[in-house]
Amino acid sequence: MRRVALATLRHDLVRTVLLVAGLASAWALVTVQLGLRRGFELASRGLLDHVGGDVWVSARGVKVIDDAEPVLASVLPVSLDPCVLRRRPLVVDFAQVRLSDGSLVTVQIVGVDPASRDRVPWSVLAGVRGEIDSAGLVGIDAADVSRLELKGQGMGQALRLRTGVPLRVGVVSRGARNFTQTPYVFVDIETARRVLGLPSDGASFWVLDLRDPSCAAAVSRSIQGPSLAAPPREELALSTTRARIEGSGIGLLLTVGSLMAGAVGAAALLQSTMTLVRTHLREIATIRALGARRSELAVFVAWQAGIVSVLAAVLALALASALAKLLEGAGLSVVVDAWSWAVGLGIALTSTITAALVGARLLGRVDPREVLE
Amino acid sequence: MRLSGCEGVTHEFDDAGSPVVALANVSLDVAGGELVLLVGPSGSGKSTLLSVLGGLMKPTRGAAWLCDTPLTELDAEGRARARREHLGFVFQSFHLFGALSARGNVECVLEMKGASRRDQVGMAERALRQVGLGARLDHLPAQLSGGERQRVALARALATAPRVIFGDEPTSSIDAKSASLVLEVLQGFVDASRCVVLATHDPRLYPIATRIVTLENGAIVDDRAPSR
Repeated sequence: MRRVALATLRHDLVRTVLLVAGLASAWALVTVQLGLRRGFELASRGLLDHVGGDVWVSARGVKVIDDAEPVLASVLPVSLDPCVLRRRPLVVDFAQVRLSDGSLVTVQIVGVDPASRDRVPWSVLAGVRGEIDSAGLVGIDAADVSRLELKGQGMGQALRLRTGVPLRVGVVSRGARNFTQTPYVFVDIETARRVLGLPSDGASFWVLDLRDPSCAAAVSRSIQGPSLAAPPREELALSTTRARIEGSGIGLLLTVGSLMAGAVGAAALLQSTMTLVRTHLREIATIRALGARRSELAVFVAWQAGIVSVLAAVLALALASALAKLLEGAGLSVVVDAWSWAVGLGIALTSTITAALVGARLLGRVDPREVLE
Repeated sequence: MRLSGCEGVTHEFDDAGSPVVALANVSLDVAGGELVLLVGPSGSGKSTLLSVLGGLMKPTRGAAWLCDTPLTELDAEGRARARREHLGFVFQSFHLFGALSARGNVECVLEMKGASRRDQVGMAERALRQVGLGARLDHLPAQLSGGERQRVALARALATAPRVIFGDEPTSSIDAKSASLVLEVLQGFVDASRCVVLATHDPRLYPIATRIVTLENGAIVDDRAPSR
């Protein structure tokens, strides 16, 4: 039956090619949309993950990392839990860069203290991370160079903030980007406070490193109060991701888009299987009349669905990679990781098995008397 | 061994609310060495009787057998097994797989019967040479004439070495030369342990028949040896 399935596919070449192309496009769309969603997830929590720490202290009511009121060091409890190894101030707030024509571009200032300098910015492409300093040497991402009207990689060039504080690019990263695509400007904590007009002991977050991560809950409880929140890092990361991905509707859009692409693929495979049965009804009835078992007919249709699916999966892989590169060129991160592949493979397998089962059921119902005129 | 036959077979079905009797208490026993023609006007029950004898359907009442296997006591899979083991079919419209070569069409049924790949190749070639298609082994059905296609179908029926061959108008769609070759092969197939049953309107078949069974309105009205 494998040979009959192969020969039939070869014989109906145009139909086979169209089916494989359609199925591959649908599955590539599933994978890329899931990859985009994953990329957005990672982008929305990227800063949190790279700064690290165990507990993030902020003003009460902060749900998203880039939406925090400053907290003064003096507001923190005088004596922190003995489990706290150190606290690192982090400033995250918006500012504006003035372009040559006088227009303004909103950027996100990320101010880190020396203790965080070995972590931020990440994925450094040019320059040395430790060179971000109080003299105004800053880091930006390569994807934002042209948006900030810089030339080449941007290294050594000046950024003019609306407030007039002079900055100069000393580090360029690749892929250190915000979910909202607002350019990050990584600066020294003192520079951040100066640029944003914050008090000298102010910070959007106080990141606590613990001696033992298992005491995070106890430390959180000991700090949180009427004006302070102290969620463990993962909790803030989840609420940030939820607000960004689900709150913006992009998560739902991409999930529904993936499901629809998957459904279109499944429908195409199913339709093709039903067409196969209709087109070859007499031949199938003939081999049934000649004594074919139902299981042999099922093997025939399973081989067809399987061969088409394997070809489509290989093509989908290539298409998804090409699409991901194209989107990355446009500044969007498509993370096609094991999870995306697993979901894509799951959809492909479910479609294939459904089509094979429906096809086998249809074939099993073919009446061998069809062969008699 | 009782090769093919039925006893007291009645088949009724419902046609838009009206009961139709397709076969009415039909009994027939076909022995080895016989080449039986089922004749009669359209709608007389020839194809239905062939379906019952070939285990393609279960009649409403009565018994049918194939090589001692009680077809009417088996489910669809059991009847399919009996067909695979004992039966070859030749149809009016050939019903070949358009995607498979002449050789592939014959090998397909041999594969179903469990023949090894090597045996499939040898047996298919032998069967196709037997029907005069030794030079057309790798041609697709679309590249063959109607007569050649029917010979491929005949080779497909012969290749599995069945005890019984059933045919439904096997010569009505083909030219005289091909029809004569088909008849010659069918005649050669019949021996003491094998038989052929053909439903037909084609008078060219009468001379090779050992027995002609006439049906009318679902009943056998005549059963005799042909006059020579």
